[in-house]
Amino acid sequence: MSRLPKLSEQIQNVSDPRDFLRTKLPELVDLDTLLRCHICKGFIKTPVLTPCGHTFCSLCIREYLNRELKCPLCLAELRESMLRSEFLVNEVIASYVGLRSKLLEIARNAPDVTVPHSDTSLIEIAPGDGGAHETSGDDDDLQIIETRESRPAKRNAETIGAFSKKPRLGSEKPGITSMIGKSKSPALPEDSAECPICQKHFPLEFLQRTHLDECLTMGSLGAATNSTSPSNPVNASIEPAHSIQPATRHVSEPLVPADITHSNRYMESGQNQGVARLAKLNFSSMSLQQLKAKLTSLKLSTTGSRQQLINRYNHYEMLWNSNFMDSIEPVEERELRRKLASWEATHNSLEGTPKKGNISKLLKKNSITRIKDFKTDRFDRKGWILAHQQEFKELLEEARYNLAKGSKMKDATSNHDVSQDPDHADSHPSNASYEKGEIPSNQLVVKTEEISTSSQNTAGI
Amino acid sequence: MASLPKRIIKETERLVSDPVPGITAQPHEDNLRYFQVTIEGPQQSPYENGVFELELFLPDDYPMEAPKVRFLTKIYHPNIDRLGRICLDVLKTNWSPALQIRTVLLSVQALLASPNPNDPLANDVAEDWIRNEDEAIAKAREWTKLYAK
Repeated sequence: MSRLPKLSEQIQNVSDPRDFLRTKLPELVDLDTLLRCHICKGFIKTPVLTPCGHTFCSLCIREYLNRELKCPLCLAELRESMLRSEFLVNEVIASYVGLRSKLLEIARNAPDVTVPHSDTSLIEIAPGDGGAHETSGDDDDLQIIETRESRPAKRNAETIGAFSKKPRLGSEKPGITSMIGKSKSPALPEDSAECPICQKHFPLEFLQRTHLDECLTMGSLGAATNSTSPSNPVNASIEPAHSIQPATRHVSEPLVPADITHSNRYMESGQNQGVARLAKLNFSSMSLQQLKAKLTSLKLSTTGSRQQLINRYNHYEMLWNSNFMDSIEPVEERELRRKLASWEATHNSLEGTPKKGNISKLLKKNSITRIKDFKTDRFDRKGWILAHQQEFKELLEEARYNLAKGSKMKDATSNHDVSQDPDHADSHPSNASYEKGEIPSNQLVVKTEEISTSSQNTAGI
Repeated sequence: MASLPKRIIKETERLVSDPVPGITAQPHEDNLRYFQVTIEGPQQSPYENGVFELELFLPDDYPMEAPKVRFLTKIYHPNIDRLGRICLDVLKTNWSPALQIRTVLLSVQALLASPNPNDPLANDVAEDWIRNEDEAIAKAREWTKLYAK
């Protein structure tokens, strides 16, 4: 049960095309779906185009091509070298993602004109959405632009039509303009209505047929002159939404500089010069030395098993090629190595780093091989002491017994003095013999000393 | 548990909020990669009126790797063996990361509607199916009545 609220929490942080379903612009579901990667379902990051015309995140498709050499959408044969970056789509998506929350807000809070419409639009869009998920094999940018320009405009014409038909039914909109409209409406002939863009009254037929189109075109032209990029589709698609609600027009102002940077970035983009593609390696014909040399030349770590080295190179090659071949703004090698490290932490974990709880077990199992770890800082002294406490005790007892035999039996109280002797005098014959038999390292003597003193303390108490 | 990829969260949300007709999929409380699935037998098939339980597991490499799907309800079908394993191309060679839980379960439902005894997994069932189709279909109906309730 504890995980369920966590899931619902997570769900709220994940954007979904269907966020637009219950807004005034449900057609945006389609656009939102088209701009997402079919592998990760997020907005496409660093888009690359396949020869079969499909677009994916650079990293998603490269990772998949490490397993299967085919396009995930149409199963056509595909190799990494065939992928081409799409800077335009990159900027279109970046621009859309920047706009999305505002767009969503505007689409949600648009004047209450489409309430009677929203049910039908739900039905209209639902099959399209499903279809896009299952069959869409054509998210090239031509279609995206088409969707952006024609669909929302058409939609707006419809909603505005609905508005003009029922200006008094949907009269929840407050403000001076609506009050004026109300006060005037009785005087007007029945088939006239107010244009929601310029607030003038026209005969209904004229309004729907010609005036609205004109008004909308004028509006978007006016906006286009503000922006330096007349062909920017995002701007064109957002403009009608503003036109419906003149009060939000100021929102478009901060968007204009953003559009300029996306356009500029696209204009300035080009093939990255100077950085070479990392090649796929034929690991079966490489020696471990060669593999390590290769990794060292890329400033990568050479620890781990052969398989881990191979995994490390393959992942780094993917990150490298995605960054330097596909990305519009490549990051530095250092950042790539950081990404590799965080990937390794979860996917390529190194062997031989025992977990804390298991140390004593591990030590017990291979105490002989572990002894060389004594000289490193990482050696777990406490674990070692704990693991060998019993052994040490037995050794001590044996030592005491032998000593007692050598220098005749002594009473229990003088035992302390006896046991202290061998610890301080390393050259004692009987003590030296135990060490030879059981423990090869000199440092162990120090350990025995510790143990014996501590056991004496407890014995003394 | 490592954090759940966004894609899985998205798919789960969609499965629960907007289920496919005739198919339910609920993630397990303790393991959000493990789903309890039910599929209704398709109309005009021997599995009509039956409700089949399945389990579905998303491996660590999902969506690069296909989900693991298995029937829990006993079923008489040439492409499903007695352990509930399913012989279906999209679960094996034709898996693509563009597919998802939703589409996989629809494919399983479609497999119930059109058994393919020429590419069998349960050889004995497939032989029966080829030898006497009517009899095999009658047996499938009977098993549906017996087990898929």
